[in-house]
Amino acid sequence: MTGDEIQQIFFQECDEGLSAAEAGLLLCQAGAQDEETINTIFRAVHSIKGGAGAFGFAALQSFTHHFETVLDRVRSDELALTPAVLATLLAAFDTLADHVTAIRGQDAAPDDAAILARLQSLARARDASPADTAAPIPPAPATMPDAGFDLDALLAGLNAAALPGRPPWRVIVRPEAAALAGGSEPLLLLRELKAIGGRIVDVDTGAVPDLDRFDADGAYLAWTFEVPGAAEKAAIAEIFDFIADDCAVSITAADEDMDGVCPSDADTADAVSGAAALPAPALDEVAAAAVETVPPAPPTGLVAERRGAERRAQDAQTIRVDLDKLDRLVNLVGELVITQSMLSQRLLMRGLGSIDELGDLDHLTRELQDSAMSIRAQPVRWVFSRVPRIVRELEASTGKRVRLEVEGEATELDKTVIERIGEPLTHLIRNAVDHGIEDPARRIAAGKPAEGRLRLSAEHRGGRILIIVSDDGAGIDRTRVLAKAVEKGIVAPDARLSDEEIDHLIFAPGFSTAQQVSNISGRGVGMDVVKQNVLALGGRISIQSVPGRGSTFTLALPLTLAILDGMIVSVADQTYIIPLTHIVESLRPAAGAVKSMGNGQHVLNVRGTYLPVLAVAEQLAIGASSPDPSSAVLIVVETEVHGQAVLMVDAINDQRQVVIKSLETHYRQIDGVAGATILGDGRVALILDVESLVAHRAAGADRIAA
Amino acid sequence: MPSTRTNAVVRTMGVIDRDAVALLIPELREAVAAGAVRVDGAAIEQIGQAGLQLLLSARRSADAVAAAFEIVAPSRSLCRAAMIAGLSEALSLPDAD
Repeated sequence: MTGDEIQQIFFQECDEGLSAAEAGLLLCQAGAQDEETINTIFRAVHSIKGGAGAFGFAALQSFTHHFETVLDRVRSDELALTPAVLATLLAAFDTLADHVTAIRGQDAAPDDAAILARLQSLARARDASPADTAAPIPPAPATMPDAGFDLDALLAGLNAAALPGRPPWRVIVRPEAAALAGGSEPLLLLRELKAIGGRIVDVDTGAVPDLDRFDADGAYLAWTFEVPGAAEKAAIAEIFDFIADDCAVSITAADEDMDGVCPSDADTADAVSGAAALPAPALDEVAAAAVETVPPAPPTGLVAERRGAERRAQDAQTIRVDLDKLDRLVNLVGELVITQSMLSQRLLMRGLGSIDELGDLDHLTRELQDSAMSIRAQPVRWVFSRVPRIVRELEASTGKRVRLEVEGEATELDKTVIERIGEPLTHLIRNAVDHGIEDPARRIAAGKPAEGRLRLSAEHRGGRILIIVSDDGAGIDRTRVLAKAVEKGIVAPDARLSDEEIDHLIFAPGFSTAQQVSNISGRGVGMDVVKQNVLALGGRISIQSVPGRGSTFTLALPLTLAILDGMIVSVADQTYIIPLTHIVESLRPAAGAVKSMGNGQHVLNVRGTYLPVLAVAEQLAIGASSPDPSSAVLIVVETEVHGQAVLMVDAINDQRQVVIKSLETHYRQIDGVAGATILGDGRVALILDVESLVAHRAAGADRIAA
Repeated sequence: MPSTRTNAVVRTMGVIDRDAVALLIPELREAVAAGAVRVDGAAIEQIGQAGLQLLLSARRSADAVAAAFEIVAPSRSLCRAAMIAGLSEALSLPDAD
């Protein structure tokens, strides 16, 4: 692996660390933090610091050092997490994210002087909490089990007792002078060891010289820990990841020295660095630790909870896979689905369609396909995580107050969709705060709380993912929107539009109703781009707005870009796929339901509304199809821009999932065609681009009121 | 300033990092020579391995010449750091929690 590749991994870990830290900080903001939350934030920042040091990102390392110092005080109960402290931590987080962006070369290093001063002030501040006192703290009486006892050690002891097959680990840590010189603090590592149940069995102070020979830059201490066997050795080694070069660490099974029978067991003995130079701890202490027996105890709630957490941690283990390899797997599975479909059809034609193995193969292929697609799926949290910062910045620049509520972050979406949805979502958020939510004075005057509510949610519904951005602001001012649209020539002055149609005018190119052009939502080009981006993903966007009560923007996105549910239809001698997401209903028209407009155009009366009928054969210029709508099959489709329309085809053949093949990759883009697929009989079928077909035809034949 | 010395009491304060340790060494040597090392730890806000091993060295040096050694009013931060490092007993400090 090259240095660049390792650095890329560090960048990915930075992203994961930032995500974890922000999630923790938001929990704190919601008042829902616990000790583990603070620990998680600390660990995330600490890991970034370690990597920054290893790769020589001095500014990032320095900043994370100060950030970590304050977090350490918070988790040590030396500094209360007041709203002011939390605000500083959030601001520090934002700057940390900027630093990470800078080391990737995507931006200049941020000016962190102001936030550093705030962090340094907190690092030195005396806590106002009553728990902090300069007076000596009396040692807890040994008879008080609820004061001063070491829960971690107790749990570790119980765990070790419950897992007799796993002897405890003996971990020897000897920091070298370079560790202190590099700004690292070995005590933090010792604390991490304690956090996983470790306890000190020996401190080697033999190297500490008297004052005459004492060097401030020296490192004279070494510690021997015993860590419960239930802990994974990798988890122990991970603690020393970023200091391994400057710290001699040895991790061995504690019973190794006791009986000396397993010195060569590679699984239980390992020296990370320089272990041979380390002094062995007193054998009697190690032996005592190793042979100490604890009566078997039934798992307590706490122990069970801890074990559950360990299991979850194991469950959450991940590996990194090159995206190209993943895409190749997905493509191959797609090919397999097609081949299976072809095999199935061939067997069916030979009267072998009912054999059991065919059904099994079909079932297994579907499962394989679902599994392969799920590998590409990522939680939408990855996109949502950037929203809190955007909101914080908007609050600062607009003076508005916004309470952000986020839901459904674990909802999974295809990686490509996740990557492309960030920009539209950001713009919707900015739009909601800039144009939707009123300033506090107006809100109070309107009888609302001064703080506006912005809700961001994701959910899986009907084979699609809905991402919903809603606010409790003023709603869309339709009178002003319509007036603006007329002024801009987007609609005719005498146009009669429904509320929904007026709302959708904000997606028109160049449309803007902001009384003053702000630098927040841009110049009115954004909402158009939002819509284009969503449509490009095969998604849709809709608006619901109530004057005075707020607006809701709903993005309906496909679960994946590789497969779609389609209706297989035939037109002339060709087979086409119509994406099911567009289909409202299909029907054979009753006599007289289709009316001729006299110019070769037809409309269909669908429950009182006349919709234009589009002959697909005519639209694609393939001819030889039935010219008579009353003898064809009509499919009512829904489009984003032009509402409903009717596609006329010769017959419906089937309905199934199809693997999408890009036409542009293999041929070129064709108007009215979104892509291609291979059918079970091996023929290529084109996937119709319903939006484009309807748009093509819509110029003079939009919906006509009945 | 990491310390001030009044009536043979070495007063430590703030963050006891390597720079602070370098400044404290001569003061502690002087205190040992004077026959009594009294370290006021009330104002220690942060201390790590560098500071703890200095205190340990001071104690050893004092013991070697039969001088008194005492840490007066240790702060919570000091007690906690000593406890994490397993040095509470060696420095005669109470556990922090």
